[in-house]
Parts: sequence; C-alpha cells; structure tokens
Amino acid sequence: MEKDKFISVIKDYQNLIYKICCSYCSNAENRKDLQQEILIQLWNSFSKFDGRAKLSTWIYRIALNTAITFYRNDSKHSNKKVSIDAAIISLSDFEYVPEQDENIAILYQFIEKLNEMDKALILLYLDDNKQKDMAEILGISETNVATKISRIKKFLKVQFSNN
Amino acid sequence: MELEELKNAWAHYDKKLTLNLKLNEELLRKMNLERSKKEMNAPLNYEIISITTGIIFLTFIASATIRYPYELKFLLPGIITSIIVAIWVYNSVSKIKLLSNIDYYDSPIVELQKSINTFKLKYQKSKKFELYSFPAFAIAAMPILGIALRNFDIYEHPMRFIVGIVLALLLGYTGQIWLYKNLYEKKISNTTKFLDELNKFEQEE
Repeated sequence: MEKDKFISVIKDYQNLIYKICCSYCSNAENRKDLQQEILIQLWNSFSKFDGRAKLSTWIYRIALNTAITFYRNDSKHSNKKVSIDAAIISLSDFEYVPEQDENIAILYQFIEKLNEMDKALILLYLDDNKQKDMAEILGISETNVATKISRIKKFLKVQFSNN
Repeated sequence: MELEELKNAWAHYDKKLTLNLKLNEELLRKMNLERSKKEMNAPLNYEIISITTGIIFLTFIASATIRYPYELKFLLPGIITSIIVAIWVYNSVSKIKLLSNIDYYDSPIVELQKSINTFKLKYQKSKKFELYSFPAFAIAAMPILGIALRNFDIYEHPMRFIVGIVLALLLGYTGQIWLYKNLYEKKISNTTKFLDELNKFEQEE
C-alpha cells in the first residue's frame, strides 16, 4: 500500500528527478546510479514526510542533497546500494531525444560548468520556483537567492553570447 | 538567446519530458529498498562497535595497569595505551554525536551539506589521528599486554622489544604516512574547501 503511494508520488515528480540526474551526471551509467540513490533516499524518508512542507520542497531537498553528496562522493559510485542494470526513469524509445534539442543540450553544458550549489540554484530557477521556496529548499535568505540568481543569469548570458 | 527564452525552452522541455518519460514500476517494486536502509546505518554501527571494543580493551588495559602501581616499566606503557584508546573512543563518541545531529530528511540543502561535511572532516581527521597514533599504541601496548596476557616481561628480552619498536616505527610510520598521504590528505583538503564554499554560499553577497 505504502509502496503504491510512493510510486504514484514518483510518477508525479519523475521529471524533476530526471532533470536533477541529467544536471549532476553527464555519464549515463552514473546517472542511473544517481537515480537509484535518489529513489532510495526518497523511499527511506517517505514515512517521515508529515506534510509540513510542500511535497515538491521535500522532493527537491532530498533529490538535490543526494545529487550533491553523490557528486562529491570520494569513493565515486563504487558502492552501489542495489544492483539494477536498467534505469527506473527513462525516455520512451524512438520519441523525444533531449540531446537533439540544441538549446537544452547547450544549457546542460553550461549547468555542468557550475559548482554543486549553483547547479541546485539554477535548476530551481529554471523550474520556475518562487524565490521564497528556493530560499526554503536551499536554506539561505531570499535576498541571497535573488543576488545569486542575478549573478548566474549574467554568467549564462555571457556563455550564450559567446556561443 | 535571452534568458526568458531560455526559461521558456526549459518549460517546453519539461512538457516534452512529461509526455515521454516512463517509470519502470516493476523495477522500482523489485528494488530492495529496505536493505538499503540498513546499509545507510553502517557508519553508525561501525562506530558503536568501535566504542564497545574500545571500552572493553580500555577496561582490560586499565585493570592490568593498576596491578603494577610501583613498576614504572608497566605503569607508564599502560597509561599511554589507555590514553590513546580513550582518545579513539572519544573520537567515535563525537562522530556518533555528529551523525545523530544529521537530519537527512528535513534539512535545507546548505544545512545538511554542512552537517554531512563536518562529519566527514571529523571522520577523516580522526582517521589521521588513528593512523599516526597506531605505532605509538603498538609500542606502548607491548609490555603491558605481554605481562597481562602471558606473564611475559618483554624487558627481560630487550632484543625482542627493540625489534618490535624498530618494526613499529619503520613499518608503522612509513606505512601510516603513505596511507595518510594517499587516502586522507586530499579528502581532508577537498572537504575543507567544500565547507568554505558552503559558508560563502550561505553568506549574503
């Protein structure tokens, strides 16, 4: 029963998990591992979710925290928690290929150049989150979010104009 | 490309993902998620085992040492061994304290990353201490363990004691320094750097 509920939540937020994995791992194999790791962390905390925060805030926090920790893990991904070969969230065959979407491909390349924390910030910004929510997810002030967003915007603008 | 256009492109991308992403429910159900939960507790269990072993060993060494209150040759190594083990136990207790303060599921990103990396730094630094103190522990423990376990006075066999000391110093220290350089030095520097980045990120510009 609990697992059914969990699967239904994951279905609703699979885009978010997919985008976070693509932003933190350029390598498909690592992306698959990160996806599993995020799902494990979400499942482990699922029973503790008490609805005080928004569901999206809870998912962003856990998924981004897991991605940052995974990205920084010194013993890089040698310690897989589960051994599953296929990706749990994947694109349907023969349909949309994001790599062929030029702007998105370039955007991912720029995101890759950012550090772990700025990656989280730009993802929240691109997903159209309110500054208040971004501040809550990241744990910094709203003013700080605004300042950092404008700095990253400038960086992206320069990157795009140079391209 | 303007930034608003970029945001629109991202929204468009999100819509396409909604249409094209599929969740492999069967695979998700098959994943042994419970086992993973147990694996997450591994660092905590390791520290608990370390503390238990440390306390048992400390009790044994302390009780052996007090049997020789007037024999400095056993009293002093006993005290040194006890101090080193006590510091190892204390480090494990501090690591458990740090671990229990980490709220994996209800903390903002900066706070959680700071807690995780503070724990990592403490872990790496205590490993450094363990590595460097081990040869001293081995040398100091030789006389007291010899007399307590087998009633063997190592001072009556100075050659064995000297060989033990030389081995501990040469193999121990060179090995530990190599291990530290290759395993922990870079990790400590990376963790410290990331903690600085997090503090900078938290501060308003």
